[in-house]
Amino acid sequence: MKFGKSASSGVVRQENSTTPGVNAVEVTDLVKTFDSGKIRALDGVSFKVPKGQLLVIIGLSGSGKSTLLRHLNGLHLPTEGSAIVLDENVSSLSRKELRSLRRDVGFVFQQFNIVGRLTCIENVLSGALGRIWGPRISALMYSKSMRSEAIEQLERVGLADKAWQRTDTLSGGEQQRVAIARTLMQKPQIVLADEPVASLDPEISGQVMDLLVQCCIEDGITVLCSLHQVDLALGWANRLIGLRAGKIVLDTPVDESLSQEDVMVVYQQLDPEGTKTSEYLDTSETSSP
Amino acid sequence: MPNPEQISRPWTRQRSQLWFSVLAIFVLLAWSINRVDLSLGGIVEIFEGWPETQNLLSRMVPPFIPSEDFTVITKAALDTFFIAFAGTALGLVLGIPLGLLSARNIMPFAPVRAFARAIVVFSRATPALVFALCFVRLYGIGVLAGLLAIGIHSIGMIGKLITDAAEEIDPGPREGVIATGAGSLQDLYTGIWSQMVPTVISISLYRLELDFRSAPILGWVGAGGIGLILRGYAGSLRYQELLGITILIVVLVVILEILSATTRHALLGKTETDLPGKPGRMTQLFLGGTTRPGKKIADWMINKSANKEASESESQISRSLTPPWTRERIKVNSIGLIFFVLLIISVLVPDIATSRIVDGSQKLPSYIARLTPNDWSWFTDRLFSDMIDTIAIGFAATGIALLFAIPFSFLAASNTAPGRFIYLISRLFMLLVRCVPELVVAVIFVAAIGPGPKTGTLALAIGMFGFITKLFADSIEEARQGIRDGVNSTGANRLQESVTGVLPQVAPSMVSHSLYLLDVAIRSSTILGIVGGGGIGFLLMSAAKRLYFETLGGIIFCIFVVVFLVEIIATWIRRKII
Repeated sequence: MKFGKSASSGVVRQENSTTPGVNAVEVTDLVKTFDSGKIRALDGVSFKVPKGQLLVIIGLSGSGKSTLLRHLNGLHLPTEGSAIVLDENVSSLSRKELRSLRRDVGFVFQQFNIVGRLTCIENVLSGALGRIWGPRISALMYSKSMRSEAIEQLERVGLADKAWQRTDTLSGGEQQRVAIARTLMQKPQIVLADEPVASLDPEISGQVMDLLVQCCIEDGITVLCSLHQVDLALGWANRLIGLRAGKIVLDTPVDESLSQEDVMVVYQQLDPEGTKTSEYLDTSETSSP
Repeated sequence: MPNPEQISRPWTRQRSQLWFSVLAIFVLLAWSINRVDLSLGGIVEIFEGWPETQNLLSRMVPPFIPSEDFTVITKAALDTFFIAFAGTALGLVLGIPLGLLSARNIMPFAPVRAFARAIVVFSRATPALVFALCFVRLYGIGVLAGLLAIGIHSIGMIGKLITDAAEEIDPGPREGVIATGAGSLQDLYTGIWSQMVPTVISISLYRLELDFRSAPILGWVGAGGIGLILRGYAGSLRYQELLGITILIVVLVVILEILSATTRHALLGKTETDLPGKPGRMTQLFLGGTTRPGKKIADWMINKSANKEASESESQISRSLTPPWTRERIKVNSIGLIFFVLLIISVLVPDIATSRIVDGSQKLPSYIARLTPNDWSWFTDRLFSDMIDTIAIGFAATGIALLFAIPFSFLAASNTAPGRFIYLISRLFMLLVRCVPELVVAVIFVAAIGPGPKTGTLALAIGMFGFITKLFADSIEEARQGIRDGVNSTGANRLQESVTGVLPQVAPSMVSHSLYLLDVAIRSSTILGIVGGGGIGFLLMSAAKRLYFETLGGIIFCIFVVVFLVEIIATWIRRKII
């Protein structure tokens, strides 16, 4: 199987200043180029995420949010620099080690990335594939305890009633909730969410975001989530990182002293000419896929 | 006043290429028609010989199935069904893995892909009847040879379509599966195969329909089934029985086609992708300004402890751990069960001796070695001239089929037919024509007009006509109404509207289908000679009969080269035009 572009391991600088086990994610001078160097998607990004933190990454489209998140579970490999996730350097892992890392790192996609033809429970059960050996042709091939676990996860996202329905008969918000249940089924330590609500309408976006973060807090999961919506970001984050053209331009804790206006100002700094205002102001622009 | 240059279309490079191709095709077509003796003189000859033909035809009516042969015929008809069914299953078992192995997004190692692709290409380019001819020598006369021939030939089309289907899947869900830490096999099943299932069902049923059509003739070379009886009657000049068996074959194919269509509809007919539209209220989440940073977490933490007891009692409701028996599930499972039982019957009932399989397979390497020519002595002038005949037959049959198919397809398309009645009659006629295997038509024609390329071309043209008209009519039905309305609103009549409003829309797919038709026609023309329809098939048959193995291998190689070249050229032209 191919997992993204092959990596040329360039300069790897490691700062071993922190004791292992404290940080869930450590990114050091991460550089990623596409089209043999023509496009520089990430340009020297460094940050550390302590365990249990709810980090939201904001930025305009094309600022490198997705690329950054995809480095953290090995869907992309760095051109330069390193990404250390749960004390493992992602680019130096063998395929087997990468698979076991992925088990601990859930990923929620903007386009849900569930198999529409399968039933909800089958999609949720596929979250357990990393724990077991060999393919499973039907839901009945998973153990009974796994099936009841999957039902419990569906219960948490409020879809236990629809467990045996085909997933493509569900609405967009419900499909994303199935995807969240699949991620929770993995029992991850970290959840990476790449614009999880960008293809949903604003009201549903709020509900799905609430659900995602609530479940992660309950299970003590570290969250790295990229978002368009400043409001949602402020509601759920402990910390905010702003990206522009592959560089970090904002890194601030979120507390009472941070007002929405402060962040909006930062957003306008991200976009001084105001050419992309519609992306973060007009709700109708981001509501439909 | 515009000058004359303005009212004529500018002569671009592309336009001259197009016209050159059209001219070349017409020259080729004229040459082919002349070569197979269907030019004006040849047609006159058919009419001159008409009384004799009429005499022969009159000896065929009324069609008749002798009652004393009834048990033999029933057994042969069932054998034919088993050959087609089990053969298709074998094709799927071998073709699906090969198809997946040649998909770029599944198998990253190019040498493995190339190897799998080579097998697929060879199977596709060699007609089932040729495989049957070879396998009869190896596995003996009977069902086994036919089953293997259908199976090995089916690998070709199944493998190619599976590769296309796999390469076209949505990579998103697959990424979702990989991101959970799934291994390669888990990814292959949950990420890739789950998405391919509808396409695989449709490929399997399509292949099954094609195999039901090619299986009846396999008995002609001894590979089991009803073809053997057909050959017996044709050889002993029992024309009434010959027509009787032909009608029986057509009826069987029609029934199986209807069954296949019903299955397809039951499994794939309903689309469940329509999402219930939910008009979302446009709430101002962005600029509401009501959200205090961190507020949501705090609020929820408070609510959570308050609601804890309530939610715990709610989650006690027991949920089913097995899928409910919905109508859909019952339907899919019973269809699956029926097919499984049919497969078991198809393998067990014909009484295939395992010793034959083992024995034949052990001899296979030495047999292939004997088929491999050591020199070029087999490449005679006769062989070359027959090969040219074969190509000419394919071309001429395609030309004749298209000549009739283009106007007729407009009658058989629901949106262009002059009336509902004409549409239904045309569709029914089409179904009947399509269900007569071209080799069976050739058997009848050889009996009526005598052997030769002329007969083969006419028989093939009828088969190709049935095949292409459906494809044409289906693409006409997909033409957009809006453009036609535009033409209609200028006051155009029905014919003008069809030519200006519909034809330009469907022309690209018609060209593409026609090239595919040529591909199919050349493939079929290589075996027409086996039943006396001209071309290389005659030499093939006699080489097999006289055990000239090197000649047999050489001819198979020639057929492969010609079919493969035609396919490459057709693909190239299709890419150029569309």
